Amino acid sequence: MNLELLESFGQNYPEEADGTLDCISMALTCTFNRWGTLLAVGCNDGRIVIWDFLTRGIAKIISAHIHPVCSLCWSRDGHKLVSASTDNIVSQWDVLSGDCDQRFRFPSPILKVQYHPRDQNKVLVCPMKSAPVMLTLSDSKHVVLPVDDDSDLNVVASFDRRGEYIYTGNAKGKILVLKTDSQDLVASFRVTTGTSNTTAIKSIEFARKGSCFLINTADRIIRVYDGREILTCGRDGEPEPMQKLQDLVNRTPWKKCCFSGDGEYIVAGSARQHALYIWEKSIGNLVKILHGTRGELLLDVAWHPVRPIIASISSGVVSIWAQNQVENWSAFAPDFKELDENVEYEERESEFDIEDEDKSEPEQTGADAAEDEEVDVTSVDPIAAFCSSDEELEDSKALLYLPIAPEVEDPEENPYGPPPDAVPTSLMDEGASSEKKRQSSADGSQPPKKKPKTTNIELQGVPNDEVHPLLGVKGDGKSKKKQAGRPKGAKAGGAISELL
Amino acid sequence: MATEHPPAEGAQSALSSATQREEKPQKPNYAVKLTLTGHSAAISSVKFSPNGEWLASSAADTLIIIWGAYDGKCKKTLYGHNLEISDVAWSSDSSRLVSASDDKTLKLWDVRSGKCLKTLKGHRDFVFCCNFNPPSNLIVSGSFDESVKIWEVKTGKCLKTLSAHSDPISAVHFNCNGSLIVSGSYDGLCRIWDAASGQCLKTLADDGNPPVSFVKFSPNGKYILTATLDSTLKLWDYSRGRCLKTYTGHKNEKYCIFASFSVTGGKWVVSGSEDNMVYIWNLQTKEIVQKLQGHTDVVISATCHPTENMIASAALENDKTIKLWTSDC
Repeated sequence: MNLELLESFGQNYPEEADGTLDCISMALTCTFNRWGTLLAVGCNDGRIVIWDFLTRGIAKIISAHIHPVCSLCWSRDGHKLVSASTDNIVSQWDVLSGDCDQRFRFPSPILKVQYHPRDQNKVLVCPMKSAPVMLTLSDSKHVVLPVDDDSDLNVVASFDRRGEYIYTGNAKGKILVLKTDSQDLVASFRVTTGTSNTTAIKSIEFARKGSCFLINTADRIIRVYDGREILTCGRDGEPEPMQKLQDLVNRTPWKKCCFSGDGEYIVAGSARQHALYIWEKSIGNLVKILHGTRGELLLDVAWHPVRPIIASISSGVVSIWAQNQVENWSAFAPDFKELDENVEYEERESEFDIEDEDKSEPEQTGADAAEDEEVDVTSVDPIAAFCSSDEELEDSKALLYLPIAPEVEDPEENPYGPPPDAVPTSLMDEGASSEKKRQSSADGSQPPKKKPKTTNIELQGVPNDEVHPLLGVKGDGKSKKKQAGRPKGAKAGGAISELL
Repeated sequence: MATEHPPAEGAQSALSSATQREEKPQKPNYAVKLTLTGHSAAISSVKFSPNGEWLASSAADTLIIIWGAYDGKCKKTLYGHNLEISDVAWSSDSSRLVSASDDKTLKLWDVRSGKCLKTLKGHRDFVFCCNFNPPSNLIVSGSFDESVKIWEVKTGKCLKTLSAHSDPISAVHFNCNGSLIVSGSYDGLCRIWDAASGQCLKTLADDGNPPVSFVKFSPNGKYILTATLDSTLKLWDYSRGRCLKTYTGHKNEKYCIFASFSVTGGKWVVSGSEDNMVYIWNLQTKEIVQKLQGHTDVVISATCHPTENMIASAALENDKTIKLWTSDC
C-alpha cells in the first residue's frame, strides 16, 4: 500500500456510515487480521464468518461451535484463529482449511482470548471468576497467572503490544504487570476514582503502535497511560494517566474501546445507545460522535489496522464507518493545485503569446543526469505500516487473503461451441494438481477430517454455574434482558446448565 | 502445431556469449525455439501463466488458446466470445483467465475445464484490456467507453466504475500488492488509482500528450513503464512524477503493443514493434541489445516467462504465429 501517495484530505478517522456487512447469522464479535484485509465475525449460531474487506464479500464460513462465539483473535501470520464460545470451549482454527487444530474445555465461560502478539503458540484466556490462564498450544499445558487479591476473581487481562508483559486488572481497580515468561510481578498500581474509591476494571486495550494503552473502568472514565511510565513506577506505583476521557454530559458507560491503527485516536462504543465517540489521544478532545440506528445496542467495536475505518456490531449486523470520499482534484493533472478559496489570478506578460519570448532556456543537464541512475525494478520495499519497529521484514508466509471461488450459477449456454473439425484438445497437465489445494471446495473428495485434540482445563476454586454475560444473568434459564445477539429461545442457557 | 527450429536460425546473432561471459551478462542471445500456429486471425495478446507452465493467447478469431510453455503444444481452446478478443490475463494461482472482448464483455474462465465461469457485463463499448489483482479476488478492465471498471471475481459484480479518461483506455495494471491501479489512455495521460476506494492519486503526462498505448508497473511496484505512439518507451518514478529512462529505436505509431520487463537473467525491457521485430533494451543503459527477427507482420505482444529466460511474441494477421525464444541470459 503506497501510503505516501494516499494523502488523506479529511481527518484520520471515519466520519460517516459506509454500509453494512450482512450475513444470515447474527454477529456478536469481530476482529480484523493484522493487515485489515480480512474481518472475522463470530456469530450467535456458533459460526465464524470471514469477510474479505476489499470486496466486502464473504470469503469463508467456519462452522466452529454449537454455541455463540463470544471472542476471537487472529494469529500474527493470519493463518490461525482462536475462538471462544459461550459453552466454555476455546478452539484454534486453521483459516485456509477450516479445520480445528485443538480444543480446550474450561470450567467457566470465557470473556476473552488473545494470541501472544509475537508467539502464536501462547494464548491468553480470561475465564469468568478465575485468574487469567496462559495456554501453550504445542503441549496443551496451561499456567494460571498470579492475582493480587484471591477473594476477587473478576479479572481481565491483556498482552502488551509486543507480548513482553501481561497486564491484569481486577474489580478493585488493581492493575498488575507481569513478565510473560516468568509471571514475575514487575509493576502495579491501583486506579482510584473520586477520592480514593476503587473502581472495577472492565477491559485493558493496547494500541498497535507505540506504548500506550487504555483502561475502561466502571466509573465510566477511560484512562490512557503510557506503558513505559508504568514500568518506571514499578510496584505500587502511582502513575498519572495521560488522558482521562469521558462523556460528562450523559455519563455514558462504555461497552468497548480501542485505538486507531496509528494509536492517535481512541474510539469508544456506548453501552447505552448505538453511538461511537472518537477522541484524539494526544489532546484528549472529542473529535466526532458517530450515531447508528436508534434503539440498537452496541456489542463490539474494531478499528481497521491501517485505514480510517471502524467496524461496529449492533443488532447482529456489522456496520462499517469510513471517511467521506473526497475526490482529490489535484491528482487529475500534474499541474493542478487545489485552492481553499478564490485567488485573484495575475497574468504573466507572455501568457497569451503564441511563442513564449520570455521563457528561459529549458534546463537540460538535470534530466540527463537522472537518466543515468541505476534503477531497481525488482526488489520490493516492506510497507512501513505493516512492520513493527523491532522487526525488519514482512512475513512472506503470512496469509493476507483467502482464495476465492467464483460462484457459478448455471453453466453458460454456448451457442458458439467448438466447431466439429476442431483440433482435439489434450487434457491439461496434472501440473494443475498442485493447484488443487488452492482451489476452493466442491472439488472431489476431501480427506477425512482428523479429530481435534480436546484438553480439559481444570481450575481450582472456579464456580461451575456461571453463565456468560452474553446469554443473560446467572441462574436464569431464560434471559430477562433483551440483548442483541441473544440466541433464539432458551436452548443455549438450558444446554449450559446441563453441561455443568 | 509447434515446429522446432535449430538454435541459430532466425535470430540476429549476438556477439558470442562465451567471450562475453563476465560477471554481468552484457547482451542476451535469444533465438527461436518454437513457432506456434493455430490462430486463424491476428493475435492480440500472449501471457505466460504465473507458474510458468502455460502460455495463453487471444486473437481476433474470438478464441483463446492455452499452450504448453515448454513444449508449445496446444492444450486447450476456449470458446465463448462472439467478437474479437483484445486481451487475456492469468489469476495468480494460474487456475483462471479473464479475457476482454469487442463484444463489450469480459469472461472469466476456469483453465482446467475450459469452461466460462462468468461473463462480466457493464461496459458500453469494446473492452480492451484486463488484469487480475495479486490476491485474484478483483479484476480491473479498461474500455473504449473511457472508463475503468473493478469487478469482484466471486460474484461477477462491478464494484466500481472510474471515469478515468477522456479517450479509449489502452492498458490497466495492478501493482504487486494490489493496492494501486495504473491506467493508460489515448488522451495521453497515465493515472494511478487507489484500488480500495477508487480515488485518483496521481496523473502523469508527457509533453505533447502522445497517446499512451501501454502501461504497466515494474515487478516491485515502484516504477511505471509507458509506451506512447511516438515510438517511445519510458520508465517513470511515479511518486515523484519523473521520467527516469527512455527507450527508442523501434517503431510504434499505430498499435497498442505490449512491453515487458525481463528480470530472470539480465535486466531488459522487451517490446514488439511495427517493423516486425522484437526489441530488447538494457534496462539501465537504454541501448538496444538485441532485435529478434522472424515474424512477418507487426509484433503486437511480447512477454517474458516468470522464471526462465524465455520470451513469447505474437504477430498480426499476415503472420498469425507465436514464437518462443530462449536465451542464456
